[in-house]
Amino acid sequence: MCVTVEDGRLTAIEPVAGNEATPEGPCLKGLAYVERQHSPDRILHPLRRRKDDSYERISWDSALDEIVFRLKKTRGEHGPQAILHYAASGTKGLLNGCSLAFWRLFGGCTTTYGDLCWPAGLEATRLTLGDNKHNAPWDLANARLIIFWGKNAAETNIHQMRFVDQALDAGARLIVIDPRRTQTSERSELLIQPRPGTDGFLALAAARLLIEKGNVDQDFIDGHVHGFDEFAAMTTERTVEEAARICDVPIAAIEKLAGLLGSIKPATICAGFGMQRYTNSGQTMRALIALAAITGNIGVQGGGWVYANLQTQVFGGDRDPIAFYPPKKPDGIVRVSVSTARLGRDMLAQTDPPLKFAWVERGNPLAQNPETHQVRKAFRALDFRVVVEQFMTDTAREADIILPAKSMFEQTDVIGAYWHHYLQLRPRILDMPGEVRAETEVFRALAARLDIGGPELDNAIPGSGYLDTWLNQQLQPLDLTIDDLKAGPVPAPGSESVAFADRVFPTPSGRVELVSAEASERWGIDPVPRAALPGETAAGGDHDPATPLQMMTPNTKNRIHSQFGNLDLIKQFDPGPEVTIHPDDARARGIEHGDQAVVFNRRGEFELKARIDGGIRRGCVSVTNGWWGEQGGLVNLLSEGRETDVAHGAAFHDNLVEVKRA
Amino acid sequence: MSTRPSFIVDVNKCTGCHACAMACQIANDLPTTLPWREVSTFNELHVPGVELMHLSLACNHCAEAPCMEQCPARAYRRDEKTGAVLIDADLCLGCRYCAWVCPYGAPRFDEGRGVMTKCNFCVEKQHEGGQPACVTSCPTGALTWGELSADELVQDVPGFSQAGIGPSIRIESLQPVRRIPEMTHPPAMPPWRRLRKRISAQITLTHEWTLAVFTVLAATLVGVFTAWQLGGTDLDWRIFLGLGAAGMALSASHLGRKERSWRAALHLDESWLSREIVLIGGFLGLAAGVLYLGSLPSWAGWIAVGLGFMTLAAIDQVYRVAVIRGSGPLHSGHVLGTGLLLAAVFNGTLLVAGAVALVKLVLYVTRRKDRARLGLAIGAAVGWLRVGTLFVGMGVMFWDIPWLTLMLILTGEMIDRGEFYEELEIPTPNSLMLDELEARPEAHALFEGE
Repeated sequence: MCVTVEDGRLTAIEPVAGNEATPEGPCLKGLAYVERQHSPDRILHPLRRRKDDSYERISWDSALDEIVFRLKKTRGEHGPQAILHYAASGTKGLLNGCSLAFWRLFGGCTTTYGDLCWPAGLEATRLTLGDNKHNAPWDLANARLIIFWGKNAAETNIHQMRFVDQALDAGARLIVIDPRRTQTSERSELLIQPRPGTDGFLALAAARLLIEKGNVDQDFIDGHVHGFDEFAAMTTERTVEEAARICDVPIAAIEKLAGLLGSIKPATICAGFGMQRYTNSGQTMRALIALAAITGNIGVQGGGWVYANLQTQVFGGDRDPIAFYPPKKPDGIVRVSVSTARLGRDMLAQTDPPLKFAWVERGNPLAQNPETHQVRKAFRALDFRVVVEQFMTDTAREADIILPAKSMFEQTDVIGAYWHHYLQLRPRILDMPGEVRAETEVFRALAARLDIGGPELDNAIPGSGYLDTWLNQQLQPLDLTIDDLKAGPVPAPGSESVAFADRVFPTPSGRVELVSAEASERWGIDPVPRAALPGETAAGGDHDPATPLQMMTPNTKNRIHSQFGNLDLIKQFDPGPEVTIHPDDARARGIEHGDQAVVFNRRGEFELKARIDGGIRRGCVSVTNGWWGEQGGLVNLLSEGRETDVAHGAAFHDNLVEVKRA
Repeated sequence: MSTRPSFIVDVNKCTGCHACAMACQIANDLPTTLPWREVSTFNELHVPGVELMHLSLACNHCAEAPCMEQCPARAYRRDEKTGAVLIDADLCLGCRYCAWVCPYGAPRFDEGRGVMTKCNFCVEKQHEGGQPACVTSCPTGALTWGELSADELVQDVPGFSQAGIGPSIRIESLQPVRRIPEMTHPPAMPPWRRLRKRISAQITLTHEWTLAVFTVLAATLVGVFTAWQLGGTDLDWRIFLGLGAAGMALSASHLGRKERSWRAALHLDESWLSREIVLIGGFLGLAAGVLYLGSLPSWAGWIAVGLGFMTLAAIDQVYRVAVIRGSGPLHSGHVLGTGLLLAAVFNGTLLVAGAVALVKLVLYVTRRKDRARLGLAIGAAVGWLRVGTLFVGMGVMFWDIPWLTLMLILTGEMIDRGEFYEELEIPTPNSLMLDELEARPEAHALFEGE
């Protein structure tokens, strides 16, 4: 984005020239930075909690002194691994790596593995295709068939809609598979609404039809697919009728899906992230990718599997989900023992040493990680908590000391992306307000108090005068400099606008793997993507009758998870949480549109307004995620800390609830 | 053919993201409570078989802008270069009438400043060769801007009023292929009793009671003066002038900027509101003069009577911009009728009073029945009270207890006028969308059982 600053204030945010993925305006959140940057609610000074749980402003010296005292005490009494370092996906950039580097220099820490966002889909893609990359965003305009599978791009990837429109204008067909009628499905000719978590069955039934009718791309299969016969045999284990029953969709809808996939090329399948947050997600996603592979839609213009584009992840490390998240390699100094998905339970379960101290940055685990009650319990069981934040989030409210965090406009950094393939410079254009300090400066100040220094520190955590040089060092292997990036977005070196056009698949077999021995070895799952039901689903029949409704917690256009929801510019469009419910489910519970309702299960409950929706699947309810506790609708009060079948993702969506009138 | 800068909205591309509305607020430094651009959603409840559509609207800078025509203070002007309709906050009274006459809900009342505010088409940007902020911020290209000729300005979508005032906007309708997805699980929609809440109302009695009292008072003064002129009653000039002054004060009390009240008289050639103000000033002044001097020729009194009834007609004309569902062009709460009735009552002209009362009664009863059928009935007790006071008031005329007659008749007229204010509706994009939804057979069940 291109920002205008007048008298030290952001006054306008516009698209940046040179990024072909986003040539039109920024999204709502992008625009809202005008308020976010200068919000009176922003934390501008170090704060310390008083006995009555309110906060008092303290000086940096006393904040750092107290933190260092606590760090030394914890390290002395329990060892460095009694300290939890928790970071999530707030403000992005190369400098984010500095925090873990600090903890290594400190002597170690405990940190998390896995991720809340997307690992099951990433790993399914890597296992099948060998790498997480897809065609350039604008290539979608070349598709003749688009399948949005569990994705509502109109809210979560609005710039993609422009290319959808271009494709539709050129006569492309669009199918949406989603339990909800969304603004994206409004563009489609068919909306298939399967039971949540049964998408794998749907994909395999479509695959079976494609194979039976001979509507597959035999040349591509012969040349580039590993394990097709085994996969084909597996699809015959269940009839289309059985699959239709499990998914609860008409057979005709599956036939239409298979018919279009078999007859129209090129086809692009755009998959969402929500679908891979069930306990069966890795296999589900593998089954979906298989559809793209057997129809020969990989490596072609206008075709492919569009999930995540990691072509800008070029700064060391590979694109394996295990290596993609810190630490790169367990080395004995950093204990990687807490699952992000089970954060609360795993924190409580740590022994030798138990956790005593937590450092949280760029994240809001009290709102966003599954099983809020457990996370809260785990944080409260600690001796000391430091949270680096811009706002008084639910997590900041747990802190003993809150340190003010910089905004993305206040420190130069280099950023990648996960949809387009541009590397971009994010230059410092504003001074830090109040007493805000960049995290790098905070770590350096802590280091000075802890007698950590020398070239080791300077290489790991650049001082402010050394930042550009440091960034240039990171860019050097790519033959790039900050000045190159100043000119505008630069396609990441080696990035391809048609992914896999060379038919090189970096899998063990060098082919698209529909049968993956690696999947089996690494994750203990079936080598073929055999479909199974998620662990907590109303589809199984053996679920608790007290909680018959499947709860989905999708993202909204109005926030990025728990960010932006505190701003007036956003609140005007989304003033409070709502539970979206099917008319029949509402009527059966005596709930009318606008009534206050309680959503609950054995894990927790919250109260919010009911919204009747003729477009949501019967038996499903939906509450957008990211509300703060004070706003109500803290959705993870109801979710359970569970991992996805592959890659340590969080299976929040295995979540059955009941709704009643308040 | 001449062209003019116009918004172009393609509802096929709009996802209802609100970036346009927010960009407008940022560019113009507006509080979130006072948006210049709003996005209305058709079929928010996702009724199966009915399309979902968003319509982003600000001011359409109409060729025949009613806000500009009807502004009594001449606070509006047109920017010659862009055709933008602009309001000058320094000239605005804060009477809010432009919000009533605009079918797109563009002018908004700024409570803090006491004046109206609205989209300025980003004229400064346009003068520098740029485009409005909403346009440059649309992430999907659904909202654009261009020089269009009059025959390119088509807008046939739910929520857009076909008022025929030359709005500078082209709206691309939904293409058939993007209308409605075939759904594998279309549900039946239950009735939703809260759907028909008066979301369109901008005029309510609670808000405008001063105007209700002022207008009935005006009718009373016209009535009593007419009766005096006819020789049917005594009238003290002090009481008359006192009540007149009170009425004017009441009518000015709802203005955002009372000190600029005088500006209301500046737009006689077009604005009914200006005409109303000037006429009532003329009536009160002349009638008070006639009463005070007592020696003016009788034609002066008749001129005052004429001005009085013209005032009442102008008042009724002012309200014609609003819609009353279930009512014909004549309403029993119109002040012209009230003025006539009161003149006859004060004068003791039973036959005329009876005739007017009968017309009012018929209008009242038929309207209440029609509105009840539309699910808009209000308490029966109010109706009986209104009808009862009229009957009893007329009856009491036979016994010549003028104060009781007057009290009863005035009570009835006040009730009727109060109902009139409650019934007034200004159509908005949202209310028009609801009307359109109600007309769709797929959505019919939603509106049942109200």
